[in-house]
Amino acid sequence: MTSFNPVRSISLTDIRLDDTRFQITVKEGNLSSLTLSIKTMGLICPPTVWAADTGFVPVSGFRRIQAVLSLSETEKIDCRIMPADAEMACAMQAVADNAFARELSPAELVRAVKLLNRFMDPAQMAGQSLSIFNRQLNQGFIASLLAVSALPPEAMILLENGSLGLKPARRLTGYDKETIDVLITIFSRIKASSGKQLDIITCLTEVCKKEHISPGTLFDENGLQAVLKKDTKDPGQKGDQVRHYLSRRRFPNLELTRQTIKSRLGRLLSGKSLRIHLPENFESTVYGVSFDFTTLDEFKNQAQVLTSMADHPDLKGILER
Amino acid sequence: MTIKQVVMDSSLEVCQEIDEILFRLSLKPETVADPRMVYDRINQAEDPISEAKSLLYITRNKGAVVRPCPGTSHYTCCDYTILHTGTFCTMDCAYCILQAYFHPPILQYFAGLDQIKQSLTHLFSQNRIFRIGTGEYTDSLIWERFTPGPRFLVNLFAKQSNCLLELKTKTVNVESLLNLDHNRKTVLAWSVNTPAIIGSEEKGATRLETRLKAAKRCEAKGYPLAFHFDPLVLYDGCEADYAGVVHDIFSHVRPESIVWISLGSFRFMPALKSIIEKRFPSSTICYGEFILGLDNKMRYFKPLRIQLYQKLVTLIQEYAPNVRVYFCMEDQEVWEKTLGFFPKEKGELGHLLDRSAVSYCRLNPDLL
Repeated sequence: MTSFNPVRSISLTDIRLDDTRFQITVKEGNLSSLTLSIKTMGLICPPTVWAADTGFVPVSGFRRIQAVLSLSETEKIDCRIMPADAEMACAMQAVADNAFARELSPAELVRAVKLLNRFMDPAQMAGQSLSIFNRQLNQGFIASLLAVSALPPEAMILLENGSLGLKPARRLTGYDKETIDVLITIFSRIKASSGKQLDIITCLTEVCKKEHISPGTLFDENGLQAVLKKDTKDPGQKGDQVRHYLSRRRFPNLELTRQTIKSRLGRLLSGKSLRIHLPENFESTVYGVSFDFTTLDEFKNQAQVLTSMADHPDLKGILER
Repeated sequence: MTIKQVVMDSSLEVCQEIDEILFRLSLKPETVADPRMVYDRINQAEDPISEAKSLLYITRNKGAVVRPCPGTSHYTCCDYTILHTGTFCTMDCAYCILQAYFHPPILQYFAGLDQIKQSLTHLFSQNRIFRIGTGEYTDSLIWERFTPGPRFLVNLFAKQSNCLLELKTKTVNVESLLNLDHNRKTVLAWSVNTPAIIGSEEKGATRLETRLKAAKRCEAKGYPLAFHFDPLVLYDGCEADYAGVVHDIFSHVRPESIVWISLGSFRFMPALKSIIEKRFPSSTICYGEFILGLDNKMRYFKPLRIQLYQKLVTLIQEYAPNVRVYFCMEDQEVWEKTLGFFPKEKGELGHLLDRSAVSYCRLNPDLL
């Protein structure tokens, strides 16, 4: 694009605010400061609209148009007008306008590639990504974002409000509808980081494959339902409990051993300031112990505690696993 | 899988060995000057691994013909020596690590029996015992059907007294070996598994019963035998099934014919998991209770491995108290809790197996 499009004053009523085809950012937020700024200094940067057959469709500056409307002081607004035959250029500008102002959120990125995909394929998008997205995107990543855009609307809402990470969303695209629906339902009731969400996806799908049960059957299990229906104000804690439940289902023996050793450690170290370091996954036979001290007396004291632990039955239990 | 194409390194001269391969495969070879043409063809296929199983590339070994087994860190290795005669396999086992090991996998036959003879002659002249196998990067006996390699090796090893050849297989391709004068220097070894695992995970491999019948035929011809329970796969009812395999082995062959039995549970590089999921969507083999081992390979949670090993070892020792049982890549805790001892010193496990080799294969005992 080499030429700038003209700025014209158009009637606010001619703007099709209901046509959100170019909208990349959905979060509206508080408009009061923007409204005050426009009232004080005027519209510094005019919004862009596309001159469609049905009226002027907003391309960028949705919030500015809303702010001017809320002022109720004018019937007209200055806008940069994109010609009727420039829908693809409008799409590119809608994305670039946001991407060059700040980093796009995962949901915005998904919406952006979906919009652009009407005019170009992933390879073309990748080729122009630096000028449109302000960063290099590869073709595979763009294809995976397009797959995410095809997830059910509930997934997009979760992505929008941060309850679903982009990596887990991309992983979801590889599953059937029932699996996706179950996982979306779980993620809508908990809070978990992307890493934990990936763990939940892996555990749930692998338990189903291993036991030849459907995701719905696993979801309906009393144990999982009890966690999901728990009345708690901390969705993060609920997320951890779901993850632990599924991990126990996926790795029953490992988790049982972990639980047993944890109980033994609790008894062994009760009232002591020593730390015992367990071998990861109990594969190695090398254990560690550490303590802090500041004086010789403290050191002697800790050494005595250490010696006394040697005969503790729980230490033997830990070592025998 | 059937070999459908033969591609030949253009620098190879047609000789009796290559003539035999082409005749037995009844395929006209295409020659290439650069192996990258083969790599590209395989990489461009929708499923490169399947493609690689149907394309035979005949070339010359441009690396080491004989090399020590790479083993793995933190776990005890048996100090095996690998004879590098070819790569990859025509069978299609879901758990096969070669799917992830080679980039890309290529079914290669290293022509040049003279080259192999030269390398082995060097080993034959040394004052130590070698246990040598061709089954590390391929199945030893898929090649028996269309190459002279296996019978050449059996004949060659028969004439010396410090090296044992182990041909490890899941096939029953022993016909051309049966009447050779092997001088007990070749051990014919079968990887065994439960009928359930063979049926679901070992596509293209022979049934257990068929393998054991082949072993019995080889036993009748005086060949020493070995069995490898590797990979042991944990599933509901696996203990009874593996007990059945032990019973079946000793229903077919005598304990005195068995040089050793190894046990190794399923372990894999993490990269293999996605390959199995993609190529074998109905397989559940990678959904066991795996943890990341000390060597960065996925392994069953140790108490589960030990539990199965204990059952198997006890049972094997009931049938064959004198047969050497050993673990492939396990640690001190596993050894002690199952076999009651651990070959702690460097080379100790290798020495134990050398003793079996000397005893069963009539190698020179002065070299122990």
